[in-house]
Amino acid sequence: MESENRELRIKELHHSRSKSLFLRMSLVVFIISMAWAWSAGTLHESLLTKEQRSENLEIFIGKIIPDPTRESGKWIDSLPWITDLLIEEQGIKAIGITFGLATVAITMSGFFALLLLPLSARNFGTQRPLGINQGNNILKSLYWFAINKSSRILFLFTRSLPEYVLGFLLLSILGPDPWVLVLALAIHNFGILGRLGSELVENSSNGSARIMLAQGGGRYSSLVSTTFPDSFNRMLVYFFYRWETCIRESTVLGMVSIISLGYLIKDAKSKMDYDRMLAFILLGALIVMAGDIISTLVRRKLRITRST
Amino acid sequence: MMGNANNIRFKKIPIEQLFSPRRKVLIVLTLITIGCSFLIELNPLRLFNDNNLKLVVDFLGAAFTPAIDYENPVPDAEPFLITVVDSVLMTLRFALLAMSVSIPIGALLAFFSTTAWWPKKNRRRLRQILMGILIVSKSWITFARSIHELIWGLLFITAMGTSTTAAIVAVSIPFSGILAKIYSEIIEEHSRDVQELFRSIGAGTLSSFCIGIIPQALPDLFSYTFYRLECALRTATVFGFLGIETVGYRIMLSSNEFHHHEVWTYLYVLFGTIAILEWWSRSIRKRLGTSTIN
Repeated sequence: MESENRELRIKELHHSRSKSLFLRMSLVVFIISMAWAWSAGTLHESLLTKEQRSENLEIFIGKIIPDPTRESGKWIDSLPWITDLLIEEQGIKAIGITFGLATVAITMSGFFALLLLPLSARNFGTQRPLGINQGNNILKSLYWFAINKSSRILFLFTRSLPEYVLGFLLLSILGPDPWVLVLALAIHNFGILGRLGSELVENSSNGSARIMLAQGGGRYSSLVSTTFPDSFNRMLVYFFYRWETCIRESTVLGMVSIISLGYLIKDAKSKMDYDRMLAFILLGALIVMAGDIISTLVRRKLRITRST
Repeated sequence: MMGNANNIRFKKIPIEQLFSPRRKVLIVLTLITIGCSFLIELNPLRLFNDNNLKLVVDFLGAAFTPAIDYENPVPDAEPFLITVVDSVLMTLRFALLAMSVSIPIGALLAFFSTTAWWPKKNRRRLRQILMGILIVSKSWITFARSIHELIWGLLFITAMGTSTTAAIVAVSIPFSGILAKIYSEIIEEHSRDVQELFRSIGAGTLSSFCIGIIPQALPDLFSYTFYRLECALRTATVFGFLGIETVGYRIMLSSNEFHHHEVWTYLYVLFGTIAILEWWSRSIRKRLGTSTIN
């Protein structure tokens, strides 16, 4: 009897577990779309014949090894080749540009995202910020609704455009200039930082901000003087996380034909200097790893220290 | 006496207070940014000249009237809107294919980069072998991640010719690496209490890992995978610039002919697709109770 009861209870519990139709449907849609992706039509295949392709591959593999080593068979002979690459062919300059681009871009996007935060956070950009009534004017409520929605849509739109597409479009407008790469990175990350920041403001306790608002402070003054300092560290964590991805992106952005690492890689490819291309790619990997390490160290430090 | 009092007052306002840690960080960041802008030779004046302004107005003006037909129709071409839908479907398909290759590889790499399922301490020989595998897989993850997917794409397309298969393989290398890194972090972060419980009543290490940790970690794993799908969609778009026929390819063609209205149509469609996907992924996260991924 007791064991029967227990089994019944287990069945009951099993039936009353939290279920979500939405999640189940999502899984079904996901599986169906995967099946569609694998089965629908043919993909765009290479126009080259098999012989041409294997010939290409042979040339590629043959040219991967640096020229001096290929001639003498000793890796030590390639050392001057590498220093040449770094100094004569602007490898060092490209490293600086990659870091510089990422830093300028992320600071710009962080600054402009911060400016919009008091409007885009759901709990601030309303007629009653943090529940504090500022009058029952319907027009004003509508005004704040529109402001809040449009700033959120701006964030969504900017972050849905990939950096590379932005870079390409900006190049056709501004012509070859470092601004193209900076703006491409900054616009995309503006959307991402804006979203992360809005969520940060929405999830903070905002106690002091509420007091300031109740005493007649504005949205900007109360956020800037209370919640921003309070969540300073978390904002910096996001900032460095995006900085790291900016570095990753800026290694390739130069491929839209502005002098930087990506440009050097593409240039080497078009001249079929595969050894040079590979060297620059490895240099890019080193830059990304360095960026990763710096960002991880900074973020770890930020998580430990109190925000003072 | 006076001098003494002044001294005390002077000591009470130490210079450090003018530069609180936060302010110091902001000042240093600003200085570094200014330095960097000189390094990359950023000239604000070049952003504002008449020619640029006209082009910017032209381009942004086109945003209000996205094209619904070709700006320069060719007789036998497909209708414009069908081309748009086709390119979006191709982008989605590319992203899904890349993810379906990356997920299993990423999961496998993650499995070998975590110590959570390792056998007991007394099996030293086996643990040494596993340690070797862990080091190899972790270094591979770091290496694969630090080369951008576009560069992997460039390498594979150079070696194998422009084909979608080559591009998907290329995307899968860094994506599986990123997935593996996050998967293994998620697995490590979860508490091992349940696993210990199963172990203490005699379950093996591997089976206690499967029933003690994986079910706990599933919501997080699922959320992150979905977020990655969003990224895959953006990557698929960008691969259009290497000649794969996704939205990016169409944007490139239209932009090269200065058909700004067509470009905006593609941008809006891309925006719509990503917005839907993001809404979906956010709803899933809300229901699973997992936080935003950064």
